Amino acid sequence: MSTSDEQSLVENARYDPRAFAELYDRYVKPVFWFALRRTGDRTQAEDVTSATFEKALRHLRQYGWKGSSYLAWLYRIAYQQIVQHHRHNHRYVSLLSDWPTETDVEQQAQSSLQRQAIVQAWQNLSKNDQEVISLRLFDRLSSTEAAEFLGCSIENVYVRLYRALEHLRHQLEALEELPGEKNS
Amino acid sequence: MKPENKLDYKDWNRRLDAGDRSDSLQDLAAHLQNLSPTPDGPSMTFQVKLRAGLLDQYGRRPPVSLLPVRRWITWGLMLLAVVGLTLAGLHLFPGSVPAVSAAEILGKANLRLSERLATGDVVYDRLLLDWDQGGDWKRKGVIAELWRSADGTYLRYQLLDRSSLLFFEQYDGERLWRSSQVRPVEGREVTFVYNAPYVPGFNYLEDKQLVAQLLFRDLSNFWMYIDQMASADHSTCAALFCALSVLGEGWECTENGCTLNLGPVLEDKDFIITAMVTRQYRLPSGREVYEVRLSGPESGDQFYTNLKIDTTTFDLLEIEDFWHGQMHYRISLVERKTLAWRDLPEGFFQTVPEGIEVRQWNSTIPLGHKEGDRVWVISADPPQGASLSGVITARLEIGYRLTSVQEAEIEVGMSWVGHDSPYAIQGAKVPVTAGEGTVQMNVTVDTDQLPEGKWAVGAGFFDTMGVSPNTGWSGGGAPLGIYLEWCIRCSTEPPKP
Repeated sequence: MSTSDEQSLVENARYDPRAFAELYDRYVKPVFWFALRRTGDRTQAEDVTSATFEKALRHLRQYGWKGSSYLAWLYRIAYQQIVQHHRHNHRYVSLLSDWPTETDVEQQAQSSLQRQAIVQAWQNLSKNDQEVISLRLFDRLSSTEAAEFLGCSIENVYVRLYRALEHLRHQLEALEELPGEKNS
Repeated sequence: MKPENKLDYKDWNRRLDAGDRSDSLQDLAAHLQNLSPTPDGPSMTFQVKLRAGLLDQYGRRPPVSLLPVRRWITWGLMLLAVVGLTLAGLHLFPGSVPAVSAAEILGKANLRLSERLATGDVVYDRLLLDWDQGGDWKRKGVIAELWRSADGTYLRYQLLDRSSLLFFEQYDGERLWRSSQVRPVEGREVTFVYNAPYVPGFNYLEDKQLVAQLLFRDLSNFWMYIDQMASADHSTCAALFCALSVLGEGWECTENGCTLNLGPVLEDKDFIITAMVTRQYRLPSGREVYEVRLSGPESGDQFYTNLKIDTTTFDLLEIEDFWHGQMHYRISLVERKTLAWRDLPEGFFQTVPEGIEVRQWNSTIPLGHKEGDRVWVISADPPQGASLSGVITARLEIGYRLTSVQEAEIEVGMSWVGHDSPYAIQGAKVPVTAGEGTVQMNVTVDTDQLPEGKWAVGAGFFDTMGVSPNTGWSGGGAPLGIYLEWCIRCSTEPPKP
């Protein structure tokens, strides 16, 4: 969907329920996945998705179109919902281990060692590093959208993603050097 | 090859997005993506139910009815009065009512305004202000002076009480000069203004509300609603008189008054305002005026605005706003003139009134003057002007006063001075409740992830939607007041104040 198409759709959604329904149809799954990856629980992810779209509807007029992505705005709402609802026991759910995948048993077995190492390395990453990797690689946001979500410049996202992956690689290398931790 | 500059990083990201796996990090990224396939979506039952529920909400409560609650509480209070206003008719407005319609008067006033604004580069208004909003918000005889460019930019706005300067704000296209009082109409005299660079999207929050937020205390105010709307859609209108450009055409009149649906302009379904000519009389200045009463939807004799329009020239001379039947404020036009740039001394919008000190900003100046809400930095370590590198943990002591909402978060952010590049410091948020207090914040900044140069550091209130309670602003980055300036990997430190 082009930027101008999305802009037009969001503008129309302010007074045309059909346009809002189209936005919903387009983004309900990405928002659900975003929530699922961070809560690790499908029921909670559905709750977050519901609350996100209800807030998006209520605040439709407050969404300021500045060439930014509507999806990134929805992610911000969803993220705030997650933080709010898990304020007292919030943890950053591992994106690689906690949510259910649909890979078959054989595939899981093949990748289990690699997965185990990466999960361990992942857990040693800073929250900032986890976040930028998650947004760009798992939520598949563009650099522009990730910048909108994070409230930083695009250049900053470029650098942060590169350095976060560097940190992850360093963590993996460190694990390989530990006795009994060789996974490759 | 490891990226060495921002162009390299950009290129590396672009190649990553294009599926390039030519280096180990890109390969790692691909591996991560393979390990985390897209999970199943939500169940179809859930999707259908949520969709139906949302559309039901949409039908029952159109988006515009979900504007900030305060505004709609006010409109709700207006509900009963509309019937009363219609029935009361002449009983409310004793004396002879002129035969001319409100629509005709407003149309001519609008035309008159347009003609006058087309004659120069800078519009100068001198206004006499009276407040009576209860509590400390009482003031008589305050003079407001406003200079605006023809494109609608506020260049200077100052409030004076006799010889005292109560408020000052100025913008020359690059820098700001501002007094620091939060509520200047309470009476503290300005003795200095601070001077700060303009950072796009960061500290110049009040560009459309310079007047409104001081003259009009509450977003629920009808006039402010009109003023904001007019400012957005008709940038060439002049300050407090913006409404005329919105109220010029499209009226439908009956013997009970004229109505205008602003819905299409407001992107609302229906937003009906009513205008009635209530009387024709002579002001103390001797000028004869029509008094046109404007009331919002579901409005009446409790909340309305009177416009006083000269019967001969059709100049808008006075505005009176009434709340609960009591006058809330009065704004009288003393003088209006249009100026050419050549009429103004060179550097006029870089000077301040005589006797007023100019200070470069520093961390102890409490900035911001949005209603009763404010946040300011009491102390900071590293201090103002420090040059930073590596990963630093800054310790900030922040004072706050929150009145407009019950709960909010104070958020600290940074912005690259000279660039539209805000940086939200993750985790730099503290929840607070209404009242006054101080909070200590330790924020960690990895300066290696930021471009070198000057960075402004500020704080502001945001609700859980990331929306500023006062401005309704939302979106990426944080429109914060600027309190500190740090320099990241600078070879020389910026001058300290």
